[in-house]
Amino acid sequence: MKGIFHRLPSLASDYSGACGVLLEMGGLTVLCDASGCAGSFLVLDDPRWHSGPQRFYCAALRERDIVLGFDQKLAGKIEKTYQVMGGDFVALVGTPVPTIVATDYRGLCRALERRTGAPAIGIGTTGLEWYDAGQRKTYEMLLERFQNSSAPAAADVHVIGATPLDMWDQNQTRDLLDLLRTCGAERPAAWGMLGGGLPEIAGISRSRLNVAVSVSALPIVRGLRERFGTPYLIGYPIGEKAERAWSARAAALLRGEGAQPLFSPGPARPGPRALILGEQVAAESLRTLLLGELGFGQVDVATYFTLDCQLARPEDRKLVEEDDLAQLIREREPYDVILGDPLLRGLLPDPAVRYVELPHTAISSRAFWNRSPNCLGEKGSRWFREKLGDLAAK
Amino acid sequence: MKDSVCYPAGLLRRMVEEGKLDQPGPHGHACGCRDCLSFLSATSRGNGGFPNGGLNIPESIQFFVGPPACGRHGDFNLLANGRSGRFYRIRLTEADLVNGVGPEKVERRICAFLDAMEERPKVVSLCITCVDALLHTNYARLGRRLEERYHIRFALVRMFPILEESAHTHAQMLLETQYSVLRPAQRPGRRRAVNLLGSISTCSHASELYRTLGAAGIAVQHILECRTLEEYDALGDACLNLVLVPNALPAARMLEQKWGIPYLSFFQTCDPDQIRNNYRALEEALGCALPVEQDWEAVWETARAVARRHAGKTIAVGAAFDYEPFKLAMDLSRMGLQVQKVFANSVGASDLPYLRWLEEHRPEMELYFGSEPESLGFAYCTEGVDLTIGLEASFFLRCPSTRRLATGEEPFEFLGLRTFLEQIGQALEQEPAAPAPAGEPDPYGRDWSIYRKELR
Repeated sequence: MKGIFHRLPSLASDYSGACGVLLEMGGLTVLCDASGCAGSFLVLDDPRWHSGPQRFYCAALRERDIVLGFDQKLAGKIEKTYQVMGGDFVALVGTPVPTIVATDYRGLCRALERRTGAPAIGIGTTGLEWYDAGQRKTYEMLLERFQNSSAPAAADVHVIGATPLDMWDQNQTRDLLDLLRTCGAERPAAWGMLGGGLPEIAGISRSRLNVAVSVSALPIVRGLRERFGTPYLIGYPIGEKAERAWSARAAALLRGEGAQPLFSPGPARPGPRALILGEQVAAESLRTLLLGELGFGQVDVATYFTLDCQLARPEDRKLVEEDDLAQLIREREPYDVILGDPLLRGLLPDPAVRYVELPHTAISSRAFWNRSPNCLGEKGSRWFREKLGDLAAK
Repeated sequence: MKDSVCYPAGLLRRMVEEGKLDQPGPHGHACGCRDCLSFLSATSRGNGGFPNGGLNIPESIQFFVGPPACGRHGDFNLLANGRSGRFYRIRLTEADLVNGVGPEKVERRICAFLDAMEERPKVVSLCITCVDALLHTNYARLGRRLEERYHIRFALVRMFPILEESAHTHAQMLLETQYSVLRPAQRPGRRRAVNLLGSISTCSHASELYRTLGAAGIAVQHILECRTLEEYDALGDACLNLVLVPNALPAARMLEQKWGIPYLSFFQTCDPDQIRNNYRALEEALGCALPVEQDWEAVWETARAVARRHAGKTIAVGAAFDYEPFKLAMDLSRMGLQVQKVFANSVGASDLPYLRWLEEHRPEMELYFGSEPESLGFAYCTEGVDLTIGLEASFFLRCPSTRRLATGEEPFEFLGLRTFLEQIGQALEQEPAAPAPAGEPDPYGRDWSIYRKELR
């Protein structure tokens, strides 16, 4: 029924997206919430929390604070916490409570900068959008506050958009950075993963190549090309053939030669039909494998998150309501296989359809994150061939 | 970054007495989900258990109304509890909040949904969030409409973490809500039955509580054992409510005021003497004999056996298991177990007797507040104890040789306490988990750990 969600759980929220970007950035992340929101992020949306305490602080706003005004009190609490925890900066992340009372993040940040001596940023997340919106806002704010054209280049290639919410763990991130090194990158870095932090962001104007690995990074890499002329790549390679093509493109861009930023596997042709459910850039990378290497004829993408119009193909679909997915499947020719998060399977009109489970933290949270494969590079060919069996071309 | 602050009991006692310690906080884990690491970040708590608590009312369904972000924790709590089939979400948008159309939209959607149902529920609960608390949204009209049009009872589950340190907390409200739609049958006299109020799990029927009360002709009832609304309504005919946690006291008072059911505090504890005292008070309240001396002796015997067998082995405990962790430390120490570390969320004047006892008998015990920023110091902690009990202790102490006991609720009766002590003994008996044998690395494997740059 329209407007009522029963089988599809709440998806990761914008503040989880923001906190996921910030957790390894070296700053003190302050979630301005009443404390339940922190539970969602820490327990459900970021597996890294389970490996021990982090530089993360929950503001624990209370009724009295809200009635009497919490700006000064919160600034005092954060100052005290900063003195203990330290950090390169302070990031305030918004939730529904400060949204309702229209918290002035700019003013609060100015007060914090005076009190702590550290730069402070406010991310105006509301809890009303999905995680990708929060990631985008965070990347934009980090760039606005910390990009410095006179800063040295701490990295020559920047991977933007890699967080555990999109299944980027240390292994997959390291694999991508290693691959970039083989393409000619000297000091590749991933923002918010494996140590990529403020020095890298400060020197982004000297980047030789930016790589967007999730949909939240698309406006960022496009904006950086407009501002600094930095070329960019969208997506990452899954499978042998894609790895070769992707590496060739990355190497060409690093040599200063022109290359198309998008994959272009060619027009539709006969072959199995697949539907990929998930974050758009990951889905696009997977589509390249299916069309370019495994012999699929038609691969469509559907997502509950942002669908970037420039990247989308005509048959791709943005989903909003719970029944949208079932309706999409009914109105299309039958798909031979559907690939997506295990929890989305419950939304399908025919549960017997062939389904390859690709866990996505932003959907199924901790329920399946340990069952998700790291398929970056040539490993992807083997894994998907095994899962797709007879559907995959020999 | 500073090191974690360890408080000796004497220092903590003096700081509390002199009012120097600002450690407000609710008792234990408010929402009852007990599966939440979030409260280990400074002052955060989870709240994922609220929708689940609302669904304790049998033959009910629940609508969650709020920003989509607020529902996520509850969704996964319900999935884990196998209750998501009775849970529906209505997502509020920014436009709803700005234009103030929330209640109308909710009423429209719920009525349309109920109209479309072939078999309607007998109770509808609505789980609302801080947003409605701040906007003072009034859902009374929805309740009236459901009652008049569909003859459905209506309950409001308030998931308001902003009230967590208020005089009337949302955890207390949740327990009141669970009993708010009781409609006891008109009976000439009260049934010989007692209700257990406040625990989030049922009590074993093998417990001496069932045995002794059963022998006296008194039934024991728990909301989680009610499969129908009729059985639920029968809770209102009980002659006594046993309050197992302090958070359930307002619900007990509400039931006394509304339905005339008296109550007796029978709080969860690991102190066998306290349990025996509780039984004596219960005997008095019910006017019958409840022989539990043998059970009391059996618990002490088990405790002595565990302490003897594992003399010198160290234990860490925390507030996730016991809403009074200092008391737990005292109780286990009195039984001869070696509690070395305690992780608390809050401390107050009510803890002073336990702090005094610890100061006198166990001055070397290390007391921590997992909620303090200094707890970040545990990020690199390599020291361990032989056994951690509950979530906090195992979160902070990650030494591979440490055994971990994931417990449920603290017991309130002798059998539960004996089982708990036996679990401690069994856990200490086990060999520590050996590291995984080195083999072929999984090419698709994940590493979700944090990449640690130096925090200092």
